Amino acid sequence: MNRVLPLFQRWPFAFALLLALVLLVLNLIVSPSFLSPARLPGTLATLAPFVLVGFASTPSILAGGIDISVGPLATFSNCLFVAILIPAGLGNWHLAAPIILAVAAGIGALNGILVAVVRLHPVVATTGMLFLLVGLSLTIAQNPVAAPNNWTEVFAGGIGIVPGALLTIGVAGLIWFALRRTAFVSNLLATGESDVSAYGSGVNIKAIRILAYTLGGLFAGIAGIALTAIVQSSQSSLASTYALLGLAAAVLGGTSLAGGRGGLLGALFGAVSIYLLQQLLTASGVAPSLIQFAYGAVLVVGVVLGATLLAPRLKRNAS
Amino acid sequence: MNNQPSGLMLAGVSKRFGATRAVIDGDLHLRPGEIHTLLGENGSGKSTLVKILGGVHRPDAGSVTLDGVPVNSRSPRQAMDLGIAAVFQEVLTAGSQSVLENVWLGSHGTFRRRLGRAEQRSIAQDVLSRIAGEVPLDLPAGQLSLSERQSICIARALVRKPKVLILDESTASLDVRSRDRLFVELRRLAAGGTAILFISHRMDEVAEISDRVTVLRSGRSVSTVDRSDLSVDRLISDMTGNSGHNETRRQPHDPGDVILRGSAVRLAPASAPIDFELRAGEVVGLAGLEGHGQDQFIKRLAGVAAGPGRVVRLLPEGAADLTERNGDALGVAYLPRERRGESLFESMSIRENFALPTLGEDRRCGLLDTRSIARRFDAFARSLSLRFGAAQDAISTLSGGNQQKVLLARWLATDPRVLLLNDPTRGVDIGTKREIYAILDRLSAEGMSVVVLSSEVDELVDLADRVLVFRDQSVFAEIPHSELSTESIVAAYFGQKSEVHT
Amino acid sequence: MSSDTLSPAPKTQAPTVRPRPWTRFRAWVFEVPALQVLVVLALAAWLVITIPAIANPRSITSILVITSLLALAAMGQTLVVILGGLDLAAPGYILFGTFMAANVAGKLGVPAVVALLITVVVCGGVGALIGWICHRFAVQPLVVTLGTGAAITGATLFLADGDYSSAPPEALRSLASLRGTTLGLPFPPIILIVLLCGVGMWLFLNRTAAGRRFYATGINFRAAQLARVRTAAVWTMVFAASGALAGVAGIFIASFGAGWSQTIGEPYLFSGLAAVLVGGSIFGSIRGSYTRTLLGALTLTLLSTIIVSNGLTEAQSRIVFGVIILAVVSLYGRERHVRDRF
Repeated sequence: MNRVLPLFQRWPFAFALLLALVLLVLNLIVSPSFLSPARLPGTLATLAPFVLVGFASTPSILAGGIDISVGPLATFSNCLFVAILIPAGLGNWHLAAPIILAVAAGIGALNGILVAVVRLHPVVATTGMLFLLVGLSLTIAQNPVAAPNNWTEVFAGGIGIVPGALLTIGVAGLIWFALRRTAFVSNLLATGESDVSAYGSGVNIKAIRILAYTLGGLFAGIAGIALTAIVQSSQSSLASTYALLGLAAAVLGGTSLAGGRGGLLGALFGAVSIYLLQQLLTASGVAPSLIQFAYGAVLVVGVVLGATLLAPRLKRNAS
Repeated sequence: MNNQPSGLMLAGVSKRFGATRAVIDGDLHLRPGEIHTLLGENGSGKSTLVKILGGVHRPDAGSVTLDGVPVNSRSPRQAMDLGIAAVFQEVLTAGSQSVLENVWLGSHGTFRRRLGRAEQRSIAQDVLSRIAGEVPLDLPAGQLSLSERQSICIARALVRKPKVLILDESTASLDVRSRDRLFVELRRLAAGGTAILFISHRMDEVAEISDRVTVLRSGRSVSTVDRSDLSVDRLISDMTGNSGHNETRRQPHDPGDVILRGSAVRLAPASAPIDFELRAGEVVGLAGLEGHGQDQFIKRLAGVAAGPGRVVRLLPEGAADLTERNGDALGVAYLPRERRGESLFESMSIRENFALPTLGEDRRCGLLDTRSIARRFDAFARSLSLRFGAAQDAISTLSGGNQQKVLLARWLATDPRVLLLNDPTRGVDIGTKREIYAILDRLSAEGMSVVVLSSEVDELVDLADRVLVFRDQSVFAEIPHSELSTESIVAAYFGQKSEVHT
Repeated sequence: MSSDTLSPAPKTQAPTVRPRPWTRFRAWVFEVPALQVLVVLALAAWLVITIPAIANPRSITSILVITSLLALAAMGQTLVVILGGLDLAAPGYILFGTFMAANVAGKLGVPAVVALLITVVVCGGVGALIGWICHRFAVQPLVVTLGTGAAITGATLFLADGDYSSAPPEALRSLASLRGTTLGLPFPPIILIVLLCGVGMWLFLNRTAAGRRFYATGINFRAAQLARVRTAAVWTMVFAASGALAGVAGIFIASFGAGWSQTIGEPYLFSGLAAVLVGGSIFGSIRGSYTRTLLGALTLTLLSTIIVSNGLTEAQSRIVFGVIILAVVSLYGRERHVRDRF
């Protein structure tokens, strides 16, 4: 056991990975065709919004804050596309995609400014933004509006043998991977761990924070696109569902709410775990209410286990 | 011939925070190639001046120039870009990141790294080995000792090859060996033309390293003295405004009965067991290099940490084990080391910070009686000469020294028989320190037992009846009053016992 | 302790200027919810001026009852915010309460008092467990309470077995009904209940040792532990209270609406939080109280009334809420700049 613990501590996502693997095996036992090439694109497409909302929650948490408006931002992006851009003739991918992503990133940046410049508590700032986005989504698409055929369908299906969902998740992953090669992520983690120290060392914490929330917004925009892919309509009612799911995925994946620890892989495995659990219970014929119960219980146990396993024993010498 | 004064120059600088005028008339001339010490009590404006130089605050008035060019830093980043590197007291390491990352933190841009990986490694290796010995670059910084982490913060400033280096109490957490290495490096840098501003509360360090010393008092620069004219007494009197002070060694009183006993206490799984007895009216000092167990030991005595061995409080009725909960009932009070992290409730009022553990005394029919709280507070405020605006003000408005006194009052109000103080004068100015020593002296004369952990050897020599020196998680030597001196304590730090018995 | 003065060294403190009257006044304004009171008065005035017809007992009662429901739902959240956390399980507790009122007390005919007791015990018990777990394992309550909320919701819906058509008994409905009376006076008991809770909370938070220790735990956990505060008890009790209060709020919510649904609890999470924030309470600080939440709830209800009577939709009211939250907290709830935390 003693050899295993340091592993968990070095890779915060290890626990969620393990959980995901166990659930995957169980899923395969219950429905052997779970990973079949015919079903896989659909499975991944349903998974993609979960994962992406988890991604979207992560940078702000790493920076030492939190963003509970990423779910509503994803559904807002969805409503924006279906209810406004398409009817306005801007539905083409080389017009719509940049607009959606720019708007989403812009809203993320606004969150960042509220937190870093106006200096509101992150919960307060993003709760206010949550109300705003829910209201805006309801205003532009009170009832679901069906979307005509559009380019997002590709992400629900596939391009050749590549499942489309891998593209959306992949783009986000690539962006993060590219950022890791720069000093940004290192600055981000330092800011999250102690903004006073980072500031005193010369890091531009204001810029780092704003960028973190902007990145989260960008990922939420991509999540909105992935969401549109599977629902093919505007769904303003989903805002509350996704609002907190991304958070759960990120924390289950080992990202510490205190900041400075974690990453996108954690959100990936966290979201996958949650998704696989629901799939498993549904396939086993469990009632939806009990599925919700199980989800809640697993979340609690998972977070507590993760916190105790990962309790970073970083200070060796008492000081 | 260029008439611009070289080096860093402050003239007539002033800064106010709300109602407090932290700096009224700050003057300082830091020449290239000199090690200049800034001395001053808490409340003298020294920390504010350092923060202004480091780019954290901007002065309300006055001028700051570097080689004749006005300096107007709005952030530590900007100060850095001008060649001024400050190591602030509050700057820490990012525990989850590697030592290498920590050393270069802040030197990059937001995205771009200024130097390649290989170059970063070699420079970091070079600097660290000179000030801290062998430090593995890829280890997460959180796994290092406090002294090593402090060295990383200093290295962070050094790798920037600054024109001006500011060290704000950076030696506080360094062990003696690292401090000596640092001083060698500082002299080397000064010889190379770097201007160094050094701040420390330790007179021995000041005497050892300074080329010149500037003293601040009440927000003004009071004197600047050359190395050749340095006199510790004169410096102290400049700082306190007090002409002369007799260094009175405390005369130990006859100790009474044993009231606290530790049996077979181990501070680490494999360390030697410690047996300890505390008598009424004694003042016992705990000393040792950072991380050698004295901190853990005082926490064991307080019941705040657990481990092998027993700590019992000897009462007339019998012995009672000390736990985290019953310190109150057993008359044991513990004043923690970190004010901000472990003692202060910053948004609460001064009075409330004082009264918190003893609120039970102010109850009337289940509700709190504010007048009773006020009465108790006033009594202690008088007895400890507390200086503050209004008792309802937030405690964050007080200076470090006065905050410490409020915390001392907090614990004295619990009417303890045993007072355990963990580094009580850390970050406290000399004037308040003396007051605290006098208070402790009086308390022990009245029969209270005091255990003081201190990293300042002189303090222990003045205060204690006997001193336990810790080495490798156990008591290495116990120095009785007759042999108590700076030399014997420091010798014990390094494993030499001389005529000391264990 | 003797009170002789012992001053070996003269005062060398940095000279302090006596705080000017304006600074003192400003500090006072931020300490008491003066701003919130002003906002409430202004909104009430605006409402009366634009719709004079609103100044009738029935409408006023309606506004007060809705405020009371929100304030009840937000009471537990206020306590958790003062502790420095967030209780995302509130919708679950509320749902359980509504289930109790409608299906258990209503359909099954269990006496209302018993239903109330069961709600308090179950929700309080779950909350206590959560609080204890968070303290014992040093986990942040955010995701733990999220999971708990989902678990309670799932369990409640499972117990309900698809039956959402029952209504609470008359005894409960009269507590929140607009036609209800309290001891002969023409307003329903819920308003008085909430006012009494407000007074009780004020006394607890300001005038009891337990209340002060509770604040201390939220302000600086480690220091509270070392100052002999029993922090495990504080965490357990705060989350227990949060659960029990939300459950009871659920009973009243079902009573007011004469029924329940699967999603009845959900809006109260963020509206409740909004009431706490608009009231000006700050996470983990001395500046937090239930009085503020009451004022916040009243503010939001008045705003809703103004919005709806001006013909705007619920969607637009959400937008206004968002703006209000941001505006109010920007005014005086701003955090300190990094340089001031140095």
